[in-house]
Amino acid sequence: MTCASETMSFKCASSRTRTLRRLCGRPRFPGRAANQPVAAVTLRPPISAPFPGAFTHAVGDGNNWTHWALWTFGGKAVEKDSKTIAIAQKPSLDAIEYAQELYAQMAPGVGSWLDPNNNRAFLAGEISLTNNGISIYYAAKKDFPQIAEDINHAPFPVGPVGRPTELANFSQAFIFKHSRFPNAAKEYIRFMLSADQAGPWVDAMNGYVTPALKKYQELPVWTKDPKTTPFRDGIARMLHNGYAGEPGQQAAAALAEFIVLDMFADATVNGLSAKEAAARAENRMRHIYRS
Amino acid sequence: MRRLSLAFDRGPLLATLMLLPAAALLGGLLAFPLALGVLLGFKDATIGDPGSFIGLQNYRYLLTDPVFRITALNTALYTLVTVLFKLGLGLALALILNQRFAGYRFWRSVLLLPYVVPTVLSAFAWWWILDPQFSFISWALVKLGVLDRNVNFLGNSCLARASLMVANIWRGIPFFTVGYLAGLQAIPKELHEAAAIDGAGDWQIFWQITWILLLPLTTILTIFSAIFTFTDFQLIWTITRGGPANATHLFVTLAYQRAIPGGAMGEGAAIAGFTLPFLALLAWAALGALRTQA
Repeated sequence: MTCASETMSFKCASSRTRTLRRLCGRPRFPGRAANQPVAAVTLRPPISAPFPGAFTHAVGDGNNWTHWALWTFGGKAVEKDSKTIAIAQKPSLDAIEYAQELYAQMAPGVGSWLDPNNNRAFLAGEISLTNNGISIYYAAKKDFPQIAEDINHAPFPVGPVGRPTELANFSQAFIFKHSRFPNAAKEYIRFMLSADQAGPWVDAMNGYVTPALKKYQELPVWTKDPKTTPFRDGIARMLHNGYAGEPGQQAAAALAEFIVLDMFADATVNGLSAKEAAARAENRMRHIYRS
Repeated sequence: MRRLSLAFDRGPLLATLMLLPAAALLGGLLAFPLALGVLLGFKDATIGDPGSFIGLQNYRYLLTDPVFRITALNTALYTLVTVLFKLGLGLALALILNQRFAGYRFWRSVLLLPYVVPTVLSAFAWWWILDPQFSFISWALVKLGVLDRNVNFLGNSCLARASLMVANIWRGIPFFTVGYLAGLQAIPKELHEAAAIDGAGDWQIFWQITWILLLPLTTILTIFSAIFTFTDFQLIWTITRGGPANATHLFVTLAYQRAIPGGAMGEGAAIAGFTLPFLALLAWAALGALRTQA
């Protein structure tokens, strides 16, 4: 199993926004301590810089930032029992209103952004902050060294819920039940994920994807260039898809159908109210979870 | 032996035998999978689970689903608008290219390009043309001072629909042009000459002779184009993937999204099932038109 985690990629020195320039030396958005009352902290100050996230069906970038937004306000798609749909509750509405505020300041066209759009806009100098895997930095190092020098990464800000709530993209390796050689297949996966094989592989892709095993946090790639470090702990900062319910077929279906992402898109690009958008998402969730 | 040859002589047996391979081919490769697909629409199957029979539940649910409703509306609008434009522009181009001018052969082959280029490739080209940041159209308009910001081609529900329609029209025009070019060349020159001698103007000649003679062809071209457009997938999936906020889904893209990445095979099949009556109607009309022509 491998995991592609995202962080906030930003330019600091060249940024027009003070918040970002301040982050130059200390790549961490001001967050909220866990013991502070929820109402005392809003997310506005950390990302007052227009933060452009994808609003259309972008599998990685779109899903990642909208799930973070939902969760960081304390929202969730479904309760622990994996049955009760909870997406239309107050925290969702807070998250949606926050997104509506952001949308008004975002780069024009985010309504049509698929996964590559923010990379291009970032490298072309249109935006200074976006959520992404390490690929922007990788491309910048190769082709735009000046931008690469100015790029840094930080975990997603922590909102009212008081703890990191990121979503990560997992790729699983499966062995089919009907496989004639299950042991050979298992051995193959074990071999490919062993330190000797996977280490150089992660190294070669600059840490874009990491095998989901703790030992891999020790790879030199994460510390050789400190700008890579925030990607190392992506798995520690994530919530699983389908939170707070169990991961499973229904959670996967909801993600594949962009229910959360479309809730935010409905309330911004499509002009619905937060309540209407959440109600739509709830209906579809109900159908998927058959509850 | 003699009796066997007699049986063959009589016809029906021989005819049945001769038709068998074709029937097996059509039945096995077309009718059988289609029937399986229709059956799937009546089940709650997901990927990895064959599911059980649930009657019309999928269909009933879809009728209450706002995303499905907007998809139905989109498909109707998309088909209607683009086919009309493709017909008009295709015919106009055919009339121009039917003239003999310097290099007309070259232009006739250039015209086929949108149709020849694999759709995914041309869709990528359109994706760049419609890009919110790097569209050359936006760039030119801003540089010329017409606009002060880029056009949000795909990030706004209405504009996104319109943009996809333009891309579809661009790709579909050659189908009509080529068809009409063939049709125009089949119209005997004498008819036009006779009308001209009788004092008919260009406009009259077009409406009273050319257009009338092209009508049967128009029916067939329109029906086939409507079928292709109705089931368009590649353009939409490459450029918007059905977004923003599901504003550009067509039946097939929604069916795919729910059935394959989403895993709801039964529901996806039901969405595809909704297209069958329309497609059957179009196919029936097409066959009818072909028969009257023959």
